[in-house]
Amino acid sequence: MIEDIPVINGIVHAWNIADDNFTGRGPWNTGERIRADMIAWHEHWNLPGMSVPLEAYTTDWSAELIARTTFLESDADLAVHHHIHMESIFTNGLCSVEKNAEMVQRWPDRFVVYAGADPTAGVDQAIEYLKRQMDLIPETLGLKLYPAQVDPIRWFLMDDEKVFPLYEAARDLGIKVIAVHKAMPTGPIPMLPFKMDDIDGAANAFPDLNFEVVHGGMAFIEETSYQIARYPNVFTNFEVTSALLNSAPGWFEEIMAQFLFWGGAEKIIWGDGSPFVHPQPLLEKFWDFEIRDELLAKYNIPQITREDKAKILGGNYARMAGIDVEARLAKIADDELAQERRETGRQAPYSNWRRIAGVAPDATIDGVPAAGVAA
Amino acid sequence: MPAPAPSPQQLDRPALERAVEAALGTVLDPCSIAAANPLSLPDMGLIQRWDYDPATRMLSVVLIVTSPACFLVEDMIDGIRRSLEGLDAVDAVHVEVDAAARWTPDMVSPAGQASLERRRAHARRRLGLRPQQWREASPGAATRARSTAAPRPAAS
Repeated sequence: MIEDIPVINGIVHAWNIADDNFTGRGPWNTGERIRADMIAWHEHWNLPGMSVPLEAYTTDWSAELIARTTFLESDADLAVHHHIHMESIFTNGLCSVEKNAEMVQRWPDRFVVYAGADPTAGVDQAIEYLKRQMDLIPETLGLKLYPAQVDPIRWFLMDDEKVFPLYEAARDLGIKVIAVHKAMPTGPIPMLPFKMDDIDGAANAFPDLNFEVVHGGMAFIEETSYQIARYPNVFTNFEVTSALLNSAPGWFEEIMAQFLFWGGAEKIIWGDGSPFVHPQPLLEKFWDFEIRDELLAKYNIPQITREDKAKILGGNYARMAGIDVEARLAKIADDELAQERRETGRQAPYSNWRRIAGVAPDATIDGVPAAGVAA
Repeated sequence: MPAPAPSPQQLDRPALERAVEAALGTVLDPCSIAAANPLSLPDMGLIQRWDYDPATRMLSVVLIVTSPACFLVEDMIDGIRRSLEGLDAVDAVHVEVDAAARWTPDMVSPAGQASLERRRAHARRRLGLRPQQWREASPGAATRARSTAAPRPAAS
């Protein structure tokens, strides 16, 4: 919570990027290339000095690590975790179903989880896989899709009517949100399925489902803007985009101004994909964020307000997914994480990861002691 | 036998610059192709600099990417190599990525910006697009809330 504003981190990831989780399939060993990029994100998109050693980073990240980093080291109250299937690249998926199950079992009011499925493997098979996940985790609220797989390279488009039975099945099973990875291609594979055009047909055909475009603004900014402008049921999730607050704040400002102009504050979902980047500096920067006068004039919009930020940081997600935030906050007010947080205050960035991995704490981060407990 | 290295006096630097710029201009940014608005790497602002060593006849190019998450960088490097290896004065091409450099959309060249705007204006006309028109639609599963960030009325 920031002041009295509930915060929902719209995507966190318990990646498994350990050596033994790569299939070795795909062009240029796709998984290894993706991991190299993930390492670059961690090194370049965090604040200087805020990182964990490579031997801790290139591992199978646990649900415990995600919970402690998210709720003890940042001001998030709730978080969303996706099962990332991508079985052609990652042997056990990039984020496993088992981690979804553990999160919901151990912290049922802290985590919202999404199932995963691969329509390129056949829609019937995807539906069966979704049903098995729903049987295992009935609390699942969303479905996360990735547009492409490798070996052979294959993809699907969201508006392909052959995929619609999957959306129908998801809706019938109680899924509220279909999230799709867009804008950032998952490897050296064709860009076509990472474009935005295909969202229109799905959003039109399923007005009773919400569609969450993940990585909004990282590419195709205008196209994304036009979709959140037109469709009540299309939202943009800021995973990775929010990290531009560290790495390219002027770019973030331009994206935010465009999205506020075209879609309005109600269409933006906060998320960061942490812990590849640490969530707390991004939250603090966004809370202090203002759009410069030049951009306000360019888009003829008023300054972003506290109310806008409250919507972006949690209100929009709660409405989109049908979550009773007040009820959840009441249930987590005295859970194990809340109790520890009261005792220690907000803990230092990556201190839990370093402790879990058994590596020495950083001496300082930007001159500030990193091993102890922050404010 | 390789051609003898040109002496600094023999090297026609302006001609080399024209040839290199023209060659790099043929390499298209993969994402711009996907967006149906192909722009070259120089127009995208992705060529940070290049240098030529007459002694070794090596051309060194420094590439930047739109984000460290760019999965298509190898394709761009291949394209750069292929475009430059055919130049008379060039025996070798070295491409390096400056991963720490920050690309921003304002690094797109004026010609590239104009091309993008033409395409976007066409899309806006085709879609009959208005800001936040989702509020006029049946709200369905989405929110009815009004934004405090709604556009202000245009000044009269």
